[in-house]
Amino acid sequence: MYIENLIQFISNLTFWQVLAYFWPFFIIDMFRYVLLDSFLIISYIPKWKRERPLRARARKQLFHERPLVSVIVPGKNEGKHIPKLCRSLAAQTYNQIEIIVVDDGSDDKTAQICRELEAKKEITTFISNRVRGGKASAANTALRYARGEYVLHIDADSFLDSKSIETILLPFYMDENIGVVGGDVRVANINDSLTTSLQAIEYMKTISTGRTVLSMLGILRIVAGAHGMFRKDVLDRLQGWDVGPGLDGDITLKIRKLGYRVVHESHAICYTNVPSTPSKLAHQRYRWDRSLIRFRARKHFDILKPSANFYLSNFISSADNLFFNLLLNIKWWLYTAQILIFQASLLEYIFMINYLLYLIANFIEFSVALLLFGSTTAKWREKKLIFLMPLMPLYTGLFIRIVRTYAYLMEFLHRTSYNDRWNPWKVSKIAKRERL
Amino acid sequence: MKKPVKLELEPSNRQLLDDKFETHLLSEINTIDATSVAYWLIEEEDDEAIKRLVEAIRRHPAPAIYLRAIVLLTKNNAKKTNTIDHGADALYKISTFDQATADTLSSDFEGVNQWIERIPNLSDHSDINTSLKVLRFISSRDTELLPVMTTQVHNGYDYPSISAMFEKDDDAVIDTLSFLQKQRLLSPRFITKTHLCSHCNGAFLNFKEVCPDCASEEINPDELIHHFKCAYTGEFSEFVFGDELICPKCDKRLHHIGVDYDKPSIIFRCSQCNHSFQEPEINSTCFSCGRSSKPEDQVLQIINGYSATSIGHNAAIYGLESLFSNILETELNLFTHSAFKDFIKIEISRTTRYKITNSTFVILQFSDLENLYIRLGKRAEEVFSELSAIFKSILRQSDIISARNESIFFIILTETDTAQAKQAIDRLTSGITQLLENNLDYSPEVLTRIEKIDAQLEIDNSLERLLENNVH
Repeated sequence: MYIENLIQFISNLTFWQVLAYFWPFFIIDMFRYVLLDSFLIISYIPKWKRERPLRARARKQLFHERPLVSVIVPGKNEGKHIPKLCRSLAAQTYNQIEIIVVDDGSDDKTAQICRELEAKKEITTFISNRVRGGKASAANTALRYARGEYVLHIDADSFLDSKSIETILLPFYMDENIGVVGGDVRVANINDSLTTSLQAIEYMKTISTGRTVLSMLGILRIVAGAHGMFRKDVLDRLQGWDVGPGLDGDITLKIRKLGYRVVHESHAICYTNVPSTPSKLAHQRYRWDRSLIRFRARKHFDILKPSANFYLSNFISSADNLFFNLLLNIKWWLYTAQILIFQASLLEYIFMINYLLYLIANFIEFSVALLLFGSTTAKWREKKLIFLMPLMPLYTGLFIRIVRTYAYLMEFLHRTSYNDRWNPWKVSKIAKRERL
Repeated sequence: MKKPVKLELEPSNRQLLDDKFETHLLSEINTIDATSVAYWLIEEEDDEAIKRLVEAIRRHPAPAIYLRAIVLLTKNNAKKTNTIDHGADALYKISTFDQATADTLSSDFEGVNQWIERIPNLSDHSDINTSLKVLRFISSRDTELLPVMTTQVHNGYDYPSISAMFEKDDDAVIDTLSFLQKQRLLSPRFITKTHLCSHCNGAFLNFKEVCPDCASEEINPDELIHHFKCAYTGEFSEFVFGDELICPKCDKRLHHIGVDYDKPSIIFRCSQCNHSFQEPEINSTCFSCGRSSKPEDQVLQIINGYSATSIGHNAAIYGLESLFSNILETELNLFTHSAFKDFIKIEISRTTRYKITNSTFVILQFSDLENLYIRLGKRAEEVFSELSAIFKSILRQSDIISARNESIFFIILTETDTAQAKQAIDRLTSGITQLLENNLDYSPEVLTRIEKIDAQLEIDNSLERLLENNVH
């Protein structure tokens, strides 16, 4: 009965009604996420093939020069993950690496575990800071003792695919203007819970394909803290990371401001552990999303102003980010208000049609991601996630959106990120006073 | 009436004590009637001479000579080395030493002298076994033998009152004491512990922090500074500008530690290989042999004080030959513990391989043997010979026996199942009980544990269980 009515409703829609009822999808999301992504991705394959000889040459040069890579791993209470990370580093095809682990005031067995690994030479240098200073200071401590030409920043609860370091270094040998290369981040604990499985789909869409697209357009604005390869000289010019949270996005912007290119390398894979319950996930996103306001809209607002340092790509990068995340978030609430006020009687149909439209969009996006990058992982690991597709419109459309709106509001009104326990309170106090 | 006797290396006329005390040259020591000596007096200025005299006394085989107390007289308060001070039983300044002091000392050492006289056949007794000499010395003093920390000996701790009995400065003193401890003749009391060179047992080690990568000793520590505002982290020296601390990243002045900056840790840097690290390795070089070793390889030595046990006091007077295990040893063939364990292994594989016959393992414990020693005194030897005879009559040539110590015995009864073993052991214990009850009106407690020898047998566990049951 409902389905008949739904079909009836759809067949009676005029073009203008479609536009009026479903404008967010047809005007914005379909273009931005489905058509643009698919189009660019399709141009990505020929580019990948075209560049094959360049990559072969870069690889040859890399193994000829064998530059030292410093893998830096800052973290607090992450000891239990370190042995697995070390094993994955020991198995790298590119092995001219040193591993520097900095313990940021752990109160568990982290120091003991890492000391043992250091004694076994599985870690080159282990530095235990008894006073917690926040992630940026831990990363900077590691940077201070890094001797490599390149610095790989990696989260302690992650591990690498065996070709990862080799692959992520190649772009530097293909374009000397590249300052940092972001690696792909996939979900390690994919089968832990529904929450982690849904995030696996989301990561495939937003990181594997999403960042490839941004990278090809030259407007990639973030290199994940979990997996990014930096030129050491560039990090030295910046004298390391600034106070977080959101320090990975912050340093990417600063590298862009120096005039370097930022690219994403989807074939260099890092697996990371993601929050396994909705509440932990909400906390993580709440922290991440606030940094959009704090860094894009406040600290680096100058990128959007015409000045001597103006770069069009930087402008687009920040504008794109602000527009799609911030304004389109507001758009959703406008749209919801519109439907509730003017089309309340049609709510059940409009909701269902939106759901189906976004379901189809998700299918297309995920299929594109699988088509391009599915071959780089175990056969069923990510492919079977397709059965969870029907949940994705609810996951991204409701759950993630509500957390994001709340984060933006709190940061705009109260600068809550400065009170986050993620940083030690002493550091937060100064950051807030200095309006960093 | 015993009198103090002064010993000297060569005749001299400087001593004002000569006319008051009987004086002899060291070369005449065998002609002195040692039984009439109250204690030995030594008055020499030279450390070497004192050492020679003390050694000559302590190394003498006659108990009446080497056990006698030594009193050292010094001219002034000149500081003697610890080893020599403690090697003597008492130390006096010549100027304060008069007849009255000498008489007081005679009565002070009366206890030691009476102890010496309890030794049977004292006058023609000659001790060549150093272990027995040490045991007799400790027992005669009836105080705890204490170690002294000293740079004079190789392993850092000396027992000066007995070390003069030993020819060489090596580990013989410690070895002898631990042998007597193992025989339950001495009981140890923990005093301290020391780490020794793994190559030469030397106590004098130079400890150094070295680079864990290249072992270089040239390493320098530096404090890390974390500037909160910009998250910059670097070494202290990077921040120093004149009298101020200024952040090299953001050029801000650092004011108060804990408010705008922290010192999260200390990092070492190696000047040789440039390696950075927080935990340097520790290495030690031995002053004696010059070789290096890591702390985990060093020898950990427990340094004990020692006093004689009841068995020890008894054996000190009547000689080590009076010990039960010694007597058993002459009557039966006592195997060492390690040999016994080998026999157990062989029996286990033999019986499980052929599955024709059984053998049985027996533990025998005399729980109150120490009291028996005290009661028996010099009759111990005689009684123990008879006990040995009972052992001999019941055990067969093919049985294997080993003494864990004076009161615990391990036996393998070959080709005997547990029921037969129980009969044999019952006969043994009732024989022993009868002997002691009839002759001494004394009923000893004999604990036994009988186990079939098979793959599950762990003799140390069995012993533990026997001792546990004994406690409960």
